Amino acid sequence: MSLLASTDIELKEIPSCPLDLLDIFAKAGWNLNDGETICYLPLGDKDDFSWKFVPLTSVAIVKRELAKKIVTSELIGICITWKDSQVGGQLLYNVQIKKLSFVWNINRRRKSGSDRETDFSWYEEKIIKTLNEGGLQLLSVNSKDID
Amino acid sequence: MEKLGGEGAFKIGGREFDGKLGQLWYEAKAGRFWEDLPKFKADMGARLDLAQKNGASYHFFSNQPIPQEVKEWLTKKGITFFEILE
Repeated sequence: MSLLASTDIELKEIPSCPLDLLDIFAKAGWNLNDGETICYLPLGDKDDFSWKFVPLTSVAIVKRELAKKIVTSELIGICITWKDSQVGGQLLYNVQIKKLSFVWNINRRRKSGSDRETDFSWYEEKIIKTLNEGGLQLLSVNSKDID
Repeated sequence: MEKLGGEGAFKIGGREFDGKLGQLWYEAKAGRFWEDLPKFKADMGARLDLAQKNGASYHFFSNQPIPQEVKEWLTKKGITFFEILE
């Protein structure tokens, strides 16, 4: 049975422009390339979780749509991967609760010697460094595998 | 599923699936997978999309009772679910 691997991060503050988070991730080495597409939750998705896939060239369109979602207080969801590794997951955040959640379900990395447990140190090291370099203060980091 | 001739775990589009029987793909969970509901939905929604893009149907097997709210969401998404309680 597969695992749901995730990391929750509580931030002291969200950037005044929440979309700046994407720039912070991009600057650190994360990208929006999920199998040569951008995968995100579209405007109006609400509780449906019907991910939309668009070409990598559609970044500006996606950002405009995400900005509208922020204004309407919708959950933001977008897939990110680390450099050219194709390892990553779904970033979920709601600007109102200052919490970032990551679901590590794209080519999930396992701990050395385990065929199940997630190598959270690999993810946390990169995410914490990314957010710190972006000037964001972290209040808590919590990673877990759920059967 | 394996008794019926199904295959075990496989990966497509970087996502892991627990198994398939022809064009019937499934996820099997032993724990309280839905305790963090947005993450559960985010994960299942992406897998459902991949299954559909590959002409497969998607199904969910649970060894725990599935909360009504989760059942309703799975039904809305067209994900058939089965409770196999031990």
